[in-house]
Amino acid sequence: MRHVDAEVLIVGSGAGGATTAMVLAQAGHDVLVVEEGPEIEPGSLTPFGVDEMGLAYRHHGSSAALGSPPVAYAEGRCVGGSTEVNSGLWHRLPANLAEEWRGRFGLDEFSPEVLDGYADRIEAMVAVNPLPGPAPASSEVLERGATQLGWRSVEFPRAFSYDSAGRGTKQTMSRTLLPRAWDAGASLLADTAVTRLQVTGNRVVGAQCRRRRSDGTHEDVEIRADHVVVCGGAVQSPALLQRSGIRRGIGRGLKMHPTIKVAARFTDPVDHQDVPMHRITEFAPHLAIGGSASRRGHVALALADSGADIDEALADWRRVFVYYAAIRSDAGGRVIALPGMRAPLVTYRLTPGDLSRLARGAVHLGEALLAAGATELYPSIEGGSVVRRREDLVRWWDEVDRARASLMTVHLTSSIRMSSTRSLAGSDPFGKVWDVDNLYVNDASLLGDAPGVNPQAAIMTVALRNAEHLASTL
Amino acid sequence: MLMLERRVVAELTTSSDPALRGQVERWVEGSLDDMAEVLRLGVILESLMFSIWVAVRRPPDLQGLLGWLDVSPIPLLRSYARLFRSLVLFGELELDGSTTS
Repeated sequence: MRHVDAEVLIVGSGAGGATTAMVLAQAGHDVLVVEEGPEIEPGSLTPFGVDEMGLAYRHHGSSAALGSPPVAYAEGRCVGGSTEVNSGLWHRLPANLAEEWRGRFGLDEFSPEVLDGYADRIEAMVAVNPLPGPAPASSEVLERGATQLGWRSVEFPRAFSYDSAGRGTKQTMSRTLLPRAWDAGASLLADTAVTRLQVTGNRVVGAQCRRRRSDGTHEDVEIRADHVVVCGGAVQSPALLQRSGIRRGIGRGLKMHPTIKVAARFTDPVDHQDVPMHRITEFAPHLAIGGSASRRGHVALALADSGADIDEALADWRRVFVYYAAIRSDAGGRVIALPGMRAPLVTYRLTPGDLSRLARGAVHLGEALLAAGATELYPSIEGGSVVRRREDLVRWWDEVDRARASLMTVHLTSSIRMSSTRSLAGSDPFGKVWDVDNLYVNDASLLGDAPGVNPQAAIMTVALRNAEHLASTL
Repeated sequence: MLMLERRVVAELTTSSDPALRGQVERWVEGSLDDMAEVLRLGVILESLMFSIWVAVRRPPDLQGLLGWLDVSPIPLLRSYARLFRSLVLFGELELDGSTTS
């Protein structure tokens, strides 16, 4: 067995882990980042293609929260985490949510003004920019549909930098905060899964890990650390804590943005290289309408979800694009580590209100797409009606039910949470796990709820706040 | 990947190109191997059950099984066929370099 020592062990290298590593390394601490996935040369994989699905995603991009209906979800698993595979859309935590969480969970230093200060600094480090030129046709569809209906829409900035020719480069963690951490002396152990934290009394003394060598064989690694920060995301972080015997307030209250998709066919070809930057915000924060990755394979899956004969539409796939309606959900889920299994059981049970919101979302999405010029809509509802006229959208109200809705999400949050009240959360107001003196969490699992927008900005803002608090106490 | 699963993949793959068919099979096999254990266990149990169903039919009727699963009133059974159809469809279209954007 290999032994490694570190002052601070950070488990995970995504939005939370990278932020934490940078802050603590720059504060002069000896930081080791352990990442389960591989280190991948930025830009070397085709976004949303099979290679990326196989190498950079956990479970090849297809996991599922069990429930009625189940909700498919995807998580990144590589150096940089989900920031390497997401769309880079950037939206600060809405001020009303910050206020709500501050009151509900008793969080100090959590006012919108304070958080904006952290967000300003994160945005300067990551480089958050609007598209320098006009948005692609797939994105303008959303703006056009909203305008036709008198609805609000917004073109969101992204974590992208652009050169003088307008070519964009996504500002993932492996391109931004992780290099800052390495420059400050932090080190990386990739391809290494932390299987269990070693807890003695009220302290973590180390971690048991399993590292995959380049030849495919494995070696056991034991890491001894003075402090441990778990940043594996809303599914993996609670699972690791539970496997380590830490269960109080851990893994309950999982939140997500359940999402229903519609494949829309147009008369003209649509670009398929990017994810739309526009969102229809008329129904925010409870319902967001946007666009998804739409490579040929994604278009085929979205078309096939309806169960309709898709051959003709698939042959015309360059005129088809995939859009979605995502809701803020009343429901909650659980993450449960199972003995002898690496992956936890994840459950999520939608409420009747959630299903109603999803049906309303599908109908509003259909209205916008038809208003923007779509000629044919295929919903992700098994046996769902293919719609060509606005008056037929009413059918989707009845067709979105537990047995037939095909749902997915890429946003999972809130499975641990922060609070000054022990009964409300698994950690204190700055992410320290209750009853364990030197164990912290700093990732999406701390958010008080699913924010109704892409959570990366909120995760990094909270992570910067908590990491600086931690640096001041070490 | 179990024998029945391999046969389902072969049945659902439309390409006649042996190289692409092999790639698709490896893609599906990799996806199943990488699946969360609890989900994979469920799929294995279903595969074993359906292996028996197919074996007792004379002649063995894989196409009939998939058609029956597609219209089953039980969501769990429908999801079995849907899983394999999705993996094969995505893999076949994305691995076919001649047609992918």
